[in-house]
Amino acid sequence: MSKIILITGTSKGIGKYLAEYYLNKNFKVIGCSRSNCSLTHENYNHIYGDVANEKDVKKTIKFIKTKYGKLDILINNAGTASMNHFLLTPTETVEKLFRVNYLGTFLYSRESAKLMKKNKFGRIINFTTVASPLSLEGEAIYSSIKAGVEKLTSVLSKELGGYGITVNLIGPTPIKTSLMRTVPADKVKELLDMQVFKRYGDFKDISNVIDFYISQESDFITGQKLFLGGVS
Amino acid sequence: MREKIQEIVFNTTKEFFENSDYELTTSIINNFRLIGDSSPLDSMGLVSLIVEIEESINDNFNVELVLASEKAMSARTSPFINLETLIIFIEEELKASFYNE
Repeated sequence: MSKIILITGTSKGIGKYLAEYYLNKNFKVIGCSRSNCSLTHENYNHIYGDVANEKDVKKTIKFIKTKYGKLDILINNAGTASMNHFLLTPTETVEKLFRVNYLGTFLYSRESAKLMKKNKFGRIINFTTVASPLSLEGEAIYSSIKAGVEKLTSVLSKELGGYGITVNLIGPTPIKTSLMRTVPADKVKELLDMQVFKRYGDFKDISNVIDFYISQESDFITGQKLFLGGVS
Repeated sequence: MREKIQEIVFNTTKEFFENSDYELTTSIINNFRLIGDSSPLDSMGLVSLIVEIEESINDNFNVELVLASEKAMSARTSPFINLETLIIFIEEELKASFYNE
């Protein structure tokens, strides 16, 4: 049977790319987002909902359980960033970033793991950012919430290992997506200059790492984080 | 409703022990201990059983309860003491769920 993969935030950017990428590999793909999704494919199902809403998350997992009876892979891609000086950061921004980046990852990981454990197999991929190890100015909230996702990943890898579920992290560099549109050009250049390879990341750089994490042979790899571009 | 919940909880618990390495040392009855020295479960076993019971309840009643809720965790008397306390808690949660629909 084809692998069943759930990807959050598939309406655009990395999530949309990953959905198309794994559809081309004959996976059954379930995507979710709050906004419209243009993807249409016989092996693609889209669930509308908020990643930080427990009921929406449970609805998505119930759909997968009913339709496929299992879930092999979860990619917690949905995320949002905001660049502000700490002194000018609205409280609402902190709450929004926390809900999408952290709470969404928490809820989808928890509910997915409940389904994965029945099959004694699962792969969970979480997203962090190079802004975390680089402690970038202007990214206090985004990078600290992603640091929380890193710690969550580390602990989950231990708690879920006994169920045959691995939990790993990828930390992309800037990629030309809508997330980057709000970042000033000089700030992006400054960031790229901190990388070993001073270029934007490509979508394929991300799918390359995820392919490694989700492979059957990677059952000895969990709790790891891999930053792109030579950032560490 | 309570009889149906009890039946689901008992059956799920029985299946859990049949399919796990935990040894069933007592009968599955209302005062079957889930926590404490007289429980046959360790902490991971309790987590796994609660997840199984949650799934069975959700499937049977077509609801989406989360048993390890803030309410459960902060209750003066834990619903996870024994099967009876859990069954009573589930009944309360189900009633609240149906009322809110």
